Amino acid sequence: MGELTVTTAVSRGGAGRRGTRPPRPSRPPSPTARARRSLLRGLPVLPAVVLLLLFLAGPIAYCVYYAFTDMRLTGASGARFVGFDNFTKAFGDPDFFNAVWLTLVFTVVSSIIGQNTLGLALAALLQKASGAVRSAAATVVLAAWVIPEVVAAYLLYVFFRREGELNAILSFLHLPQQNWLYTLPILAVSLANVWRGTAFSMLVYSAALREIPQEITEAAEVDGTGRWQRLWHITLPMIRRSIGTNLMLNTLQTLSVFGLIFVMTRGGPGDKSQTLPLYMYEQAFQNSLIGYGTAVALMLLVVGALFSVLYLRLLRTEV
Amino acid sequence: MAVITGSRTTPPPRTRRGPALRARQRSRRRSERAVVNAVLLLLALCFLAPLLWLLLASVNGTAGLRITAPDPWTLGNFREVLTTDITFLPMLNGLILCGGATALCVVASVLAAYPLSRYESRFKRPFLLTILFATGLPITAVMVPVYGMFVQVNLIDTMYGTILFLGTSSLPFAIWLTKNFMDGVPLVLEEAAWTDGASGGAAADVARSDRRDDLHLHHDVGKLLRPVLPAALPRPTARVGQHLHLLRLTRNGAVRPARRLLHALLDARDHALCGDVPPDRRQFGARWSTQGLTKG
Repeated sequence: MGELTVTTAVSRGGAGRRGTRPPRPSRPPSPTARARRSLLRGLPVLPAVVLLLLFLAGPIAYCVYYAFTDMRLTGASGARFVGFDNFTKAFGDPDFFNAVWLTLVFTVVSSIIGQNTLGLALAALLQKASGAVRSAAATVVLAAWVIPEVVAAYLLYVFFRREGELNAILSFLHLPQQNWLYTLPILAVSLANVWRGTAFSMLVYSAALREIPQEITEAAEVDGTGRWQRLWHITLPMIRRSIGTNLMLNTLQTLSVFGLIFVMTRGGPGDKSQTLPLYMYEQAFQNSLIGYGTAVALMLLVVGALFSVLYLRLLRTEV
Repeated sequence: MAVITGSRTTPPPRTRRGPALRARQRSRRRSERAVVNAVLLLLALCFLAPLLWLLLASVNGTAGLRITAPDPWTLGNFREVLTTDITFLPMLNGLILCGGATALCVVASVLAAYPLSRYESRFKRPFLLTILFATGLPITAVMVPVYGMFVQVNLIDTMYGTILFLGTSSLPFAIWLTKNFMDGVPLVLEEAAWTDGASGGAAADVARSDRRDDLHLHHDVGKLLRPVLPAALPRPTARVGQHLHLLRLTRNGAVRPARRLLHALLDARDHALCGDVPPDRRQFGARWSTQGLTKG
């Protein structure tokens, strides 16, 4: 609101606004002067635009181009235009569908169910906990978030190994043990992603919960609503915007998780944890099929773009 | 809370049993808090377990894959890896890469955010929408084309090429954040500085608005860096994750960023995978991880 008035005031140039100086004759600037002025004002944006064009739009354009060629890392260097061959190949390839399926599982389990729900639960619990417990818990969860991806992946790899900590805990509790990274690698990497990414949702939801006016929860409490009713009818509807934003951001992030899985399992054993980014990597760099790998990348980009558009709609009022 | 309950007239039984109810509510609240605390601590323990192993294994002379008390307690692991080749050189390279990328990102985003925040233009909305859209794109997906492009324009294996790419990949989010921050900086501050500066001479309209940029930047640079830096800089998570891109973007020994460490780490992992775990390797991994932790 305030921003709007401010910007318009400045953009009017301001012959009338300079109170300290003798007022200048308020002539309307000539079209060329105005063009020059807006050009100069836009000048600082230029470096960013150039960088974005060269290193973001450029690769994306390349991506679109390569996706329709049979470019390879080895052998003949020329890339022939092959139309939709890469895409038909992908859709005829069971490995591709395996990767799509695993990506879906990974996203649903780790982002939508895991990070989102656990983040909300943590935020709600943090709100009710006593001071010391709150800061201790928040610190630990955040610590998992800020450590570098590779380090986190290495830690979790150790954690899920057969001789690792998880099995130690399970045997302590007299529960059946697993060789997690071999029997259920996709679950292991999903849990790893939950471990690593929950802090973000926790932060988003903590902020959202603080925004709920206390009177409303109190009024509901007085009316004798139960805890779950309160959650369902008051809390969730009031933070639905945050839920939408958070789900979208989480999903986008999870779709492109590469390092975590690469370090933990390299997509294996076999292809049991090979999500789309890993499939793309394998095709492009290990099988040297740059063209084909890029086609997969393009599909990933399109899915990301769709989510991004959804996200934009959610944030529409803020731009 | 309880007062409100007491003052309500509709449910008669409640008002009658006021004090008892209050006492019960208090005790219920206490036990509820105890439960909440216990659950929270349990969750925190789950998050702590992998981290704890890292901290303990890095000072353990005979570290295994499980959490044990250090035996013998030693800093030897650290001594072992704190050498030029294993730690310092890769760290320096990593620092140059991250530092360069961050500097690039901060400068470009601050420059871009100022006009975006202060002036109206018909290009502004589409531009911001594009920026926001770009923040959502999975950067991993452009890994392959970036590699292809870098090979074609001969940027592969160069420090500056990598810096340019890294800096740009965090640029959309940085611009978005900086712009929103600048919206919050009151114009009054800016105007004060601007009047001081502008009183010197009667500059042309454009020149003045240009100067205003400088003044503003000068004035608020400290304030500005506060929100921009976290956006641009270490989310180390994002950064080091991108070192995986570097696996591809830099391949010879001449340019050695932290990816050497990464290799060593993966190496340690593979050894562990084969069941053959030379202790130094393993602790090396742990050690490096600790370093990453402290860096973050």
